Amino acid sequence: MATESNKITLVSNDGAEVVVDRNVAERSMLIKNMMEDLGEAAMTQSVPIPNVNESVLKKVIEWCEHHKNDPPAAADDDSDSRKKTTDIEEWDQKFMQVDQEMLFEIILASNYLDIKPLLDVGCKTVANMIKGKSPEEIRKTFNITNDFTPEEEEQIRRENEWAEDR
Amino acid sequence: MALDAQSNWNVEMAQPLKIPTCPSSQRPIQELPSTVPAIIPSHSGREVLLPSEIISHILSYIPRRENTQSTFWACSLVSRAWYSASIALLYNRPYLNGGNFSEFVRTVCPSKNAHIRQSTLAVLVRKLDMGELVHNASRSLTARLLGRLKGNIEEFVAPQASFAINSFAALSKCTKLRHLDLSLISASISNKLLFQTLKSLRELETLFFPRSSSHDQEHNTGVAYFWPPKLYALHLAGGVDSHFLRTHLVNAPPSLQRLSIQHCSQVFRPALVDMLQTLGPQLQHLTIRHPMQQLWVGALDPVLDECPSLTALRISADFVSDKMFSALYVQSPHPLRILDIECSPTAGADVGVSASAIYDAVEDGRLPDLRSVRVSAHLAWGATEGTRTDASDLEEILEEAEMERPLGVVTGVWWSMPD
Repeated sequence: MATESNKITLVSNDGAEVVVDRNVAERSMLIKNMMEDLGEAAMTQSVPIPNVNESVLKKVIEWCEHHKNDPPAAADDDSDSRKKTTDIEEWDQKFMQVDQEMLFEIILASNYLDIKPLLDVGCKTVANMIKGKSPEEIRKTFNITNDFTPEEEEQIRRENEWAEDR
Repeated sequence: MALDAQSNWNVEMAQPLKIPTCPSSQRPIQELPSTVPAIIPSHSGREVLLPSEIISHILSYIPRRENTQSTFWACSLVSRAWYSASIALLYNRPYLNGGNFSEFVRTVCPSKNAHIRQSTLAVLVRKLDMGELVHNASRSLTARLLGRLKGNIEEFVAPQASFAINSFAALSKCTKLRHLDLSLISASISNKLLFQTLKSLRELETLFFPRSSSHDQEHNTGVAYFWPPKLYALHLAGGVDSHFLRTHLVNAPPSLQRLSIQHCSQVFRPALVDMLQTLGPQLQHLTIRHPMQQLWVGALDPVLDECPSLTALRISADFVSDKMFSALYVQSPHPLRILDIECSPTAGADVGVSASAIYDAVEDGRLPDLRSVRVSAHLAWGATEGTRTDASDLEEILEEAEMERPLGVVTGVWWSMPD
């Protein structure tokens, strides 16, 4: 069992078991806290991840694997310096070259699993994608349904006309 | 706040001059247009809904600038979730110009009658810069606009033409103001009225005086002006005179660390020197720029002696000489890090500060922290081989000092500053 002791089993919401090094999985603060709460039991029983399907979970673990040795983020990285840059390191850029649906799923999964650096990379990627786009282009790019009534949309258009690029 | 050359330059100047702040070899990386990642459409076409807080997180990576205003506009029209994540950012700091101002007003002040309809968007505005508006607003409109925004506005730059006495009542209710710039106002404003308004602005940290504030008519009333208790940076211009310096400025709060004075034709040397003797010890940044008709070459030579805490000084060569760096006026090591010397275009042949005088002060340990020296092209440090050698010797000794004791200040000598 000694060799197995650093592996844990995650179960996606579509029932797939994914075996992963504990230190890799613990890039997720959610899993890390769960491990601490479960203690010994964590190593013997599988851990359900109810909000994430197999393909997204595997993708997220791929990221955690690559970043397992990253130094922990600074305690308070919500400062302005974080916002200054939308630079993304090359490996992460390639990693994020997925279809739009997967991109949003990774963002949701990293939010749920509490993997802040991955959430940041995903959000930066989307930020770079929306710059300079029209409302219609943003909706089309990300499959977003326009849920305004025509009257609401008209009012918002009228109120914010001053900010429209012309 | 980082004490780098550029930030100092911008903070102290109402109209910043464009000069290089570091040699090209160590120029900081310019902001490149970030490459747009390839967008790969999904096969399913399924909509993945992001909650508003994640959309907010995405938008936090887009700086709120003039060139991104239309992106925030676009986001507000995408869907309800995107609207709620973007609307406050769109209104936080509107970029207004002659082309869009009337539309902005229509939204934020839909009616002249304040009771008819309060716009929910007005309360989102934190920074209002009317500096680019010349003839677009009327005086009453500026007052009305301020009235609508009063609750939350933190920064205000007054327009040149459409700000007058009636705007002050509205301004005095903007009690969260931290940054107030009246420097563009062309109408004459009495200091008394200005200070009545300041009374209620208890959060104010930065104040740019109107360049045309009028001289006080009643000098002898003896009523002391109230200063905002958190005032940190004060920029004086125009109708400030010697009496104001002696009677009022000397009562500035202990929080005041940055002071600039320019275009004050009625400020005489004795009052200026007296004021510096009182406030000097608390000042970290000081700017004294031409034109100041009552000063002469050498009049401000004791400035470093009077301001022993100064880390950044910007001064016109018209008022100082090489003596300001001599042991006479810098007796113990002075913490000055950044020195900018300007020069009026009309300066005579008697105006001049030499690189070798500054070099001697550094060499003798009087200015151990000096790292950045920028001087006007008028001082002709590049005129002959001799002066160029002096300037490069100075640069060398500054770089050595930074190597020995790094202060993180952009280090060097620049002698071709335009005016």
